[in-house]
Amino acid sequence: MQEREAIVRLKRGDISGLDHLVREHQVQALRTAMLITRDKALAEDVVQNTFIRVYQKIEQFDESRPFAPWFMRSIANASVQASKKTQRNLSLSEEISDGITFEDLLTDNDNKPDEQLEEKERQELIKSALDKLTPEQRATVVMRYFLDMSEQDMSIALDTPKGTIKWRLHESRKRLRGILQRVITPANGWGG
Amino acid sequence: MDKYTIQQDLHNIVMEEIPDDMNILPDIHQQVKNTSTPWTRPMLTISRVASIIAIFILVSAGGYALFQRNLVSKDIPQQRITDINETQTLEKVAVTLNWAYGDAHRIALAYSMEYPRLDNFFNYPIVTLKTDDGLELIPDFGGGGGGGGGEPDSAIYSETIMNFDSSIIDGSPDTINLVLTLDFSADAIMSNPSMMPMSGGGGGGGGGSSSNGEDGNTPPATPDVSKIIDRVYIFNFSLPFYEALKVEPEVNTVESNGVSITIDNIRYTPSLTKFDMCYNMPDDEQWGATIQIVTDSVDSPFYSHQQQPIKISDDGRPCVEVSATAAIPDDADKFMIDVLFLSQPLRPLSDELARAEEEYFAELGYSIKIDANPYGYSMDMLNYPDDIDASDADEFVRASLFFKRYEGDWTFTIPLK
Repeated sequence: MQEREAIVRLKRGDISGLDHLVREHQVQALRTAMLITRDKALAEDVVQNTFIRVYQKIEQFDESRPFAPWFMRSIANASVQASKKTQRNLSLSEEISDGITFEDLLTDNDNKPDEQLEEKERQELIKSALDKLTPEQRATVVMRYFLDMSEQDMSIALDTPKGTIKWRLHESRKRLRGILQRVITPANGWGG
Repeated sequence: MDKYTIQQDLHNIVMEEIPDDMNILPDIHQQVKNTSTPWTRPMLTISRVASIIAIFILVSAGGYALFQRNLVSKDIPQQRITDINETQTLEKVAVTLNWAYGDAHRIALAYSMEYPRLDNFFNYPIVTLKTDDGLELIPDFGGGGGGGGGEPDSAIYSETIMNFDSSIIDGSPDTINLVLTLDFSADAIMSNPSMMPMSGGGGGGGGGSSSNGEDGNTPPATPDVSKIIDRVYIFNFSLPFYEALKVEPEVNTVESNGVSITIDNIRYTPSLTKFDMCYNMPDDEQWGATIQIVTDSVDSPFYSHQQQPIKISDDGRPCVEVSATAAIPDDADKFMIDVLFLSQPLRPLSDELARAEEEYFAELGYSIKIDANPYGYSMDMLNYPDDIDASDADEFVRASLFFKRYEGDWTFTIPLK
């Protein structure tokens, strides 16, 4: 079954169409929701509920357009809303490892010498950095860098002016840059 | 640490947390069953019917049937397909033009891709097909794809079939020379929102990754950027071209159960047949039609047409234009167009309606179990007639399930020699 066939089937009430869409898009949707919510159970709820909304509202979907971008925008938006309801409040002084706190990581003017961190350690730092962003900032980072969405698409998806998206990306990069200062070499950086 | 490292890290982080084989489908099924919000799917309005018809027209005109599986094996004569199997490899990404087929109604082709998992690579190219004199052919609705998934360290393979409307090609050349361009460049793709890259099929290793430099910062001049921007594949190839032939039915008007159906203006190629169909609507209501093209050895998929008329016949009956793919064999001396029934969607869905549909199909030899609620239904095929294969049985039932049927016996025989 192809995607358009699945959508037409679903519009006729045939749930086999939904099965196809779930199988095709669930992993990417779960990963997107997981990165934004930072909570696996919440991500599963978001994705399940979004698929159910697709099921209920499929009449509104124009099947001449590709499904994935529309659906992933819905996932990102729903993830932000869900995250705001269950906002994780982490202490700035919470110790994350070996005496390093978020406050340490967020310091832009880190005078420690650059050191090449192992991949695993670097990924742990990024995870911690994501936790420190607001849901909206996480969504902009995820949509821009994980889903490769343009700022125009992000603006539509989040129902937010493009200028605000630019500002959020700037703020997100600034905060992440601070957190990741130790692993960014002076010659590189966040090019966008 | 550059942007692409961050992207790779994001993918790696989330792949650990959400593995490729994670499956929430059972939970969604349960949630669907528990959905109790009262809502009634409306009867299709004329405009809705029209929009559905537009889909069907596009589908069939493009040579891809809505209820069809296995495009290549079913609706293109196998002996007329040209195997090309030309592979071009750029920066670890191999793209192969596998085969192509061309006639006066459509061009069909298949290409495949093989690339390392998590490579910075868009798997949704901008595809253009032109004749060698620059005439661009428009992609038609439909096509298919598959692949992806597999072990985390394995390469990703996917295959895509595309159809193009070839009716703008003038004359009846014996062969056509074509140029296929598959443009995976970031700028080309990101300037087309409809091609925004997402994950690979089959739960593959997440989305592609790249930048279009729109956020005001200068993209890092890393080799990764040039790798993405320069990835354009161009294939030049030639195909035999089969012209459309006008054919006439032995009898062009058949009356059954009070409905007179006339078929004319039949234009036939080895893979796709177009014709006009005029019929009076029972009860003066809007009825669609489900048809099938049949030869001695090949049955086409079922086509459900629910469109509004494109014209009125001289005797005042509404007429629709029908396109149907069917691989009619070279040695066929005739084919048949069967109008199986006229149809209207049955709504709202209900348990009572589901039981009635189960009984109806049981009388035809199909044992089915339907679970329906106002939002939709699921159908399991428990048994079907011995002389029909499983996929055909499934197609047949789904093509007419929850449709009010006005039945008759309208069969048109079209001699080919």
